[in-house]
Amino acid sequence: MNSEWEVDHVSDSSEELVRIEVLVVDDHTLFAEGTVALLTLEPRILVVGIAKNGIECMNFIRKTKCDVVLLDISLPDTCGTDLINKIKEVLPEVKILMLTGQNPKGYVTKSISKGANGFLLKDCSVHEMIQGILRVHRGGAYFSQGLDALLHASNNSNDTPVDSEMVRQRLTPKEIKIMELVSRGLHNKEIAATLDINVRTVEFHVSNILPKLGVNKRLEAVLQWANVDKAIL
Amino acid sequence: MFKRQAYYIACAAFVIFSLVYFVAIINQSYVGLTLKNSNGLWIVTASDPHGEGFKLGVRVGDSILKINDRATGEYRYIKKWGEAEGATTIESRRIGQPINTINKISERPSLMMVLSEMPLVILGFVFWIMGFITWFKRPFLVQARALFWLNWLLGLAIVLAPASSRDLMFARELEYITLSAVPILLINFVSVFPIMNKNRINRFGRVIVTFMFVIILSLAVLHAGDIINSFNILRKLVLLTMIIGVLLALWNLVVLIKLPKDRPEKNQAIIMLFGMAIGFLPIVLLTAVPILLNFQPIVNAQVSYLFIAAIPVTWYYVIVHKYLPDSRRLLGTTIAFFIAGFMISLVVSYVLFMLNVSTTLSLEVYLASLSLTMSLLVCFRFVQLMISKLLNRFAFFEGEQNFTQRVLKLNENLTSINEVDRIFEEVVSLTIEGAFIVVEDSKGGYLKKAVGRFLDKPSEQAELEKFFQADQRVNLDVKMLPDDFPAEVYIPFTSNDFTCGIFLGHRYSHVKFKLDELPLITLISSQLAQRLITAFVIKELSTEIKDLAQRASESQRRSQGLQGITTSLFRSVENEKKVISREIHDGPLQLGLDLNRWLKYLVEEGPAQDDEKRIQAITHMGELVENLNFELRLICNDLRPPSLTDLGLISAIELLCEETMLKELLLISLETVGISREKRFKEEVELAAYRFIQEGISNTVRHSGSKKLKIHIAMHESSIEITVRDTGRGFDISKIDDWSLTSAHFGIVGMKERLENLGGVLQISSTISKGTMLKAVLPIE
Repeated sequence: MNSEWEVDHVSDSSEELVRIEVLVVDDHTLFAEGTVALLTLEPRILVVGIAKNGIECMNFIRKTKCDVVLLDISLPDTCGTDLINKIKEVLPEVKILMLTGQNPKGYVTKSISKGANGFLLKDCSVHEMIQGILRVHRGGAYFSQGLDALLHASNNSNDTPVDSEMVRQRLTPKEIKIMELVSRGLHNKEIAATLDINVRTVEFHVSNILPKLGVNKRLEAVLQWANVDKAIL
Repeated sequence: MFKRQAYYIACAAFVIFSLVYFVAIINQSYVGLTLKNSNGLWIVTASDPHGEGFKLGVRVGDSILKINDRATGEYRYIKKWGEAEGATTIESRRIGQPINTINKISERPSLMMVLSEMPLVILGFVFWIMGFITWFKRPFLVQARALFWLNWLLGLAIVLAPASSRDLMFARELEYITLSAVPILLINFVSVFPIMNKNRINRFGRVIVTFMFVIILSLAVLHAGDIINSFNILRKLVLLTMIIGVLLALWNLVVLIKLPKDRPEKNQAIIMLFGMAIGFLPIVLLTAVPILLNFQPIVNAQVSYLFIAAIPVTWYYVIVHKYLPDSRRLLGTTIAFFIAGFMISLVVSYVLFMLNVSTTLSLEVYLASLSLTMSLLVCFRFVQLMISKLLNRFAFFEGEQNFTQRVLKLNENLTSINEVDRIFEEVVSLTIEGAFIVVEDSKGGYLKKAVGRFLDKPSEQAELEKFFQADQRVNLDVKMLPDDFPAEVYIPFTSNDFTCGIFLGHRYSHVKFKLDELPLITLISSQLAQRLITAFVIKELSTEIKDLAQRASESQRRSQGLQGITTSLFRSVENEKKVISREIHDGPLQLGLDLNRWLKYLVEEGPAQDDEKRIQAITHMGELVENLNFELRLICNDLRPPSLTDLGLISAIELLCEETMLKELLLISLETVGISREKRFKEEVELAAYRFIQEGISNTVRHSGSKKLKIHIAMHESSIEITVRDTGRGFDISKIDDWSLTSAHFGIVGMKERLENLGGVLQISSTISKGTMLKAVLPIE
């Protein structure tokens, strides 16, 4: 198993491994057990418990110490983000990694502001998860790969004037085609039907085009594209 | 114009005058001979039958040779007045008789004197007193004042009459002066009536009469001073003046009578003339007629003077009382009375003749019997009135009076009784055996009510009903039913749509109804019928109103129920969505996520030189799963956005706006006032607000064509206000109500109901081609 993370790993000949104790808080049994199963493969991590809801989580926290908490945002009796404060009250040193199966937009800011140390999408690979646990245990922050783009995209405003020539070069031919259809006012579904591709693909492309044009709004993209088009013509 | 003292002084003067002159005449007899000088011989031209001269046997045509043993021509009063008053002895000679008769004027006993002159004095006093009372009662009325002075003067003249006929103490002069002043005051009195004031003839007449008065005054004064001796002229002048005055007054009265009926003066004038006629009639009959027809009256006519008192009494009555009885009616009854009197007197005089009580059938006899009869009749009438009043007082028998009074009393009560049954009872209290009333309205509504003996006699009721139905009601007269009918009177009555028939039963006393009782009965019955009809109509109206009220409350309940249903629908729909979202999230989505994870693991942990195809397949599967998860998430988000549940309204709205701006060509600006991102509200409120904004955005996207949208969320003390505004096409607001009926734009209409169910309001304003604004206000605790 040659993985990148081995570089980080300081091999220790001592028999005693410092195992990071992880508490999994998630009400979806299947997923939680799957997570445990996957994490068990990693020797540096020890899952010390599974909590199904906020109350169980707090009970566990009060009784047993742990290093990292994998906290699902959607719990039956409370929102995960609200739990952060409570956990930190009991174990101020513990590191919290948020999990979500939903679109994390909106949750990320809230969690970070509450004091979470990282954010993971539930469908991230185990590798990512382990990486995340190790990183936050060490004191850093970890965000799922997909989240990066989101985080940076929201910061994207129209400050930087975009060079039309550069823009044109940046866009792939597919993207150019899609952009032209967008400028005509077509909705994603219609674009998908026209180009005979999946709606999701269109959305994916659009979400790539927008930052390239230096905007985060569709209308602004159209306006930018109009400039680009004029410039070119 | 005169002050009160003047009046009192005048009264005092009158009393003094009359007393003085009355005392004066007691000791002097009335001779009653008028003499005229013809060829040196003093011939008697008039011999008053009341006078002592007549009693002594002196007649017209006799010549008087000596008075008081002096030559006739020397006698003082002969010189002055041509009358032999104050004489104690008279020597007379009848024509054709050679002997001279010497007669001594006998002195009548004082009592006799007093009694015989009493009527005149009484008359004078009556005049004066009536004038005084009139003025006293109405001191400010011009007519009352005029009447006082007129009466005073007349009274004075009358009181002076005995003395003047005895030529005592300037009585005659005074009398003449007084009498000539009378016309002035008479005209004054009559012209005081408002119409007459400006009359030219009156003024002219007044001038003439005043002129004559002045002449007579001067003449009389001169005569009294023995300066001139023109008694004839004086007498004639006085007579003339009086005639002028009387004529003018009469003419005025006649003019008043000719006025249209609505002037009060007409009635007053008629009554006054009437009084005058009554007053003068006895005198005319008993004194003037014999003189005219040249025979000596049988009856002592002094008493007839008293009848003149009717004149001042009438005048007083007319002046003092504002509202007078109808003079025409008075005239009618009196004329009938008189005619009856005249005819009966004829019979009486004939009977007297037959019975040989009177020797001849002459006018004198007739007049005598006339006066007798009339006085008897008057007394009879008077006594009858008194007695019937007394009898009524002690309620001896039930005349028409009683019935009328009962009905009148009933009339007072009817206005205050409203209950129909009580009305009925009162009608029956008129001692009727029973009453039965049938009311029918144009729509066929029918009402029957029976009271008294008809109550438990359905057969009689049926008979009466048949009569009612059969009656064509061509004329609405009251009908007296035939004797074999159980009821006696039938009164039809119509009012608006209703026709009624009222049947009144017989009286207990078995006395039939008289025709003149019917008007009163009809009146009461029609009132009764009106009440019944009103009660009927009210009853019907109240049933209708109750009905309407019931239906209204039912439909209100239904609409309330409907409202409840819509609320429940909304709630249950949202709940369902929430549940499904949760289920998808907890079920398929989790599976998908787990699947994705394991696939990734497979890819990562697989052998490096693994089959390209396998890796491709797995990668493809991974993409599929990613798509699956994505779509599942989308569905969950549409059903119930998790950001709303977990993060709150503001964050959810922010996310909504971002997503919308990726998908639509729209710029949304979101503004919050007074709310922090963490602020949470009740689930229902957050949900409603979110859906509202969602609806607003989707409306703008679909209909307005606007490229800009403003969302403004503000929190107030107890409410949250959300405004969604665009600058697009706008729409016609008045069409909103039509939408709700055709369910074309259910979104907004549904939104309205939803917000209202939470106690909020939805405001929509829109201007064509300017934009639309949706405003929602929701209460929060």
